Amino acid sequence: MNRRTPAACIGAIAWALCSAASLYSAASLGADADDAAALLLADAPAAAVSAARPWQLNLEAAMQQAQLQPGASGDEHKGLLALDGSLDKNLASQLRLVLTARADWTSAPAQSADQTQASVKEAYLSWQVRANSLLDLGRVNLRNGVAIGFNPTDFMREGALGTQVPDPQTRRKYRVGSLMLRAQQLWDSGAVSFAYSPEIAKPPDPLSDPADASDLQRTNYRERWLLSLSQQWGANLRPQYLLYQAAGDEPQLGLNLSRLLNNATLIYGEWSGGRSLPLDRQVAGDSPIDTFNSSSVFGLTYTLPIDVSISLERHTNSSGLDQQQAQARAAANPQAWGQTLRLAANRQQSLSEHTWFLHISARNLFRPKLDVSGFIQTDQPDQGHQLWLEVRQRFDHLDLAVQWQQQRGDPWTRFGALNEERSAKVLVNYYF
Amino acid sequence: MLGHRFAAAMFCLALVLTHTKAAHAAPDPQLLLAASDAIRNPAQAFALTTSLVEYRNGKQVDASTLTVYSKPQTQGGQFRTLIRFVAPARDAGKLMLKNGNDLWFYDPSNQASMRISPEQRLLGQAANGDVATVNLARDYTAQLGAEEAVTDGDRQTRQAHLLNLAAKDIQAVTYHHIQLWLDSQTQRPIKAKFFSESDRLLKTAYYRRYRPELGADRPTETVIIDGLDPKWVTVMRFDDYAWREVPDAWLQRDYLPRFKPE
Repeated sequence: MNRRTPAACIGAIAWALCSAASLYSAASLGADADDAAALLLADAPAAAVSAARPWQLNLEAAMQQAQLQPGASGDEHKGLLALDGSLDKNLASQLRLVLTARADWTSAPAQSADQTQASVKEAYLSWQVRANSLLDLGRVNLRNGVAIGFNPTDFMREGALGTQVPDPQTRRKYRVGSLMLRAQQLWDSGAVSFAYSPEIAKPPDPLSDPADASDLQRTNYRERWLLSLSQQWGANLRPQYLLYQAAGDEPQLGLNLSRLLNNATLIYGEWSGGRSLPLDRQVAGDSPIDTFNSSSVFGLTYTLPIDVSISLERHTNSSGLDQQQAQARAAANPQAWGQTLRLAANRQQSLSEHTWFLHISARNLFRPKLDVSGFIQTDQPDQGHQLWLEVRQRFDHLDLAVQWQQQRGDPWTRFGALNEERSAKVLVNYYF
Repeated sequence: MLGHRFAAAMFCLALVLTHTKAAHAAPDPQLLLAASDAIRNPAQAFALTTSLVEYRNGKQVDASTLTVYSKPQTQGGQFRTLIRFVAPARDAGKLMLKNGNDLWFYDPSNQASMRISPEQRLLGQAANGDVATVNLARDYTAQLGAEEAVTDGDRQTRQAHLLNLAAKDIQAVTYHHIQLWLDSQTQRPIKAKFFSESDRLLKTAYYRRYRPELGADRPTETVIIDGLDPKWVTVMRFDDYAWREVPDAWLQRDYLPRFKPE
């Protein structure tokens, strides 16, 4: 047995302590050197501070290569150019003008002529009657909801999109507002607002493409109103209650809320419901409205310490159809089913019983200013899926992005009915 | 007799000296923290411009400018903060509202008011809590550590109190615990280290370039050094301090699409 003398033990302990002290000292010196280097960087002269301005302008140029669905032969090649601008200016101390507009130019060699489309997304005057009382008049893009993939409480979404856009973020960017008069009253912990959107234009032809109708035809072909109330409950809960009615339909109720579970996890939900006709029966001209239907979203977003957010949502539709029902309706009357799919796209909703939606967003992944985001949504049971992925590199005034989109499904499903099966897009955004 | 009197006098003197020394050596850490808060943050509603420059391995990789509107709550005294993105152009007009850990993000390009969690970052290295105005004394319990000499952000050696801060409610704060060094004479914050629950160093911050703003000498620069990668540095500069009253009713989600202070 190896026995050490007390002096040897004391020597060993002293050596260990000295070693630890040296290591600590070295680490401390390293940290000091890092701190000194950081402070040296901070000594660099500060650049001029940017000032806020009332306008924004964004130019987007893109090339897209698409493979069409089986049955439609060949590939499609497109060039796209878009200008998106906004102006938000105080005309007087209590009067504000908001204008946002977008112009798109599409060139497809397979088509005979280039397509140009311009939309005034918002154009309204806002009058601050008192500090907490406001009145808006004009085309207002009123949007409600807390979910990412689908917003059942976003009642004003009907007719807000002229084209089908898969990415929820881009869908909101393309969306046009409705002509309306809106009043809002705020208090310290909540707000109430009432929006009235009158019938101004003739309804669009249900047999034609929604893109062929004017913005006014899509958004103001019938009278609508929306009442919403928000109230803070405690530090962590702020539900929003909504009541909506469109001419010819029964009133619809809505509720959306979100809650923080911990510093990284957020749960949220939306519900809307009321007596209504399922879309396929609306197309068939059925009456009376005899059933109570509802749509809901329940979702969770978790953020990893590496700046990656993952959201999972389940969308349900009580009037949704299962695979056999949808297939049978499509087979029985293909034209009516086509109109039903169009109406669903116009209302931005699914025809299936439920949908799973997974969204992932990563900022500064692998290198600074490199963002990756994407989603996959599947209509259940077995009614197709859609996948969308984007890699985006940000520069000072410029973004370079590559997007990939794919949808699969039988021809009678909402994804299978889309023109393109898959597409790749390279785009450049310049921010003036 | 004389010996007894002398002994009693010495005992009293010792008591006084001990008491004086104790009083000198152990100021109330919570009061010290509150005093340092008052140096970092004006007591009333105010606005300022914050510019952030981010460096990786010595090279600038990002920059942004924000206008920050802060207002102390009538109950509790913690700040509610509304942050408006000014630059880069891609982000101009976006808003973030922070009320404790209740955070909302508004993007005018798609009219979306999204609730976000404190972990969801909008500004690269800087956490949302770093750009918001926070009274640490409201959210943390302070314990006095050693008094020691530290090098401040302007490379001066300062005698400093070390305060160890523990979150009162971990759900309501960005950082689990903090080490904060305050100038012993002035209570100015010099430096802080921010830690996770697992005691991992998340970042180090230096408060520097003090100058008179809104009635007190305040730090106009914070240098943030990443705990894991010390070559990842963000410099936050504060300019255009101004008293700015914002109605309470404006600091809520429903007002975000309308917020236009200028």
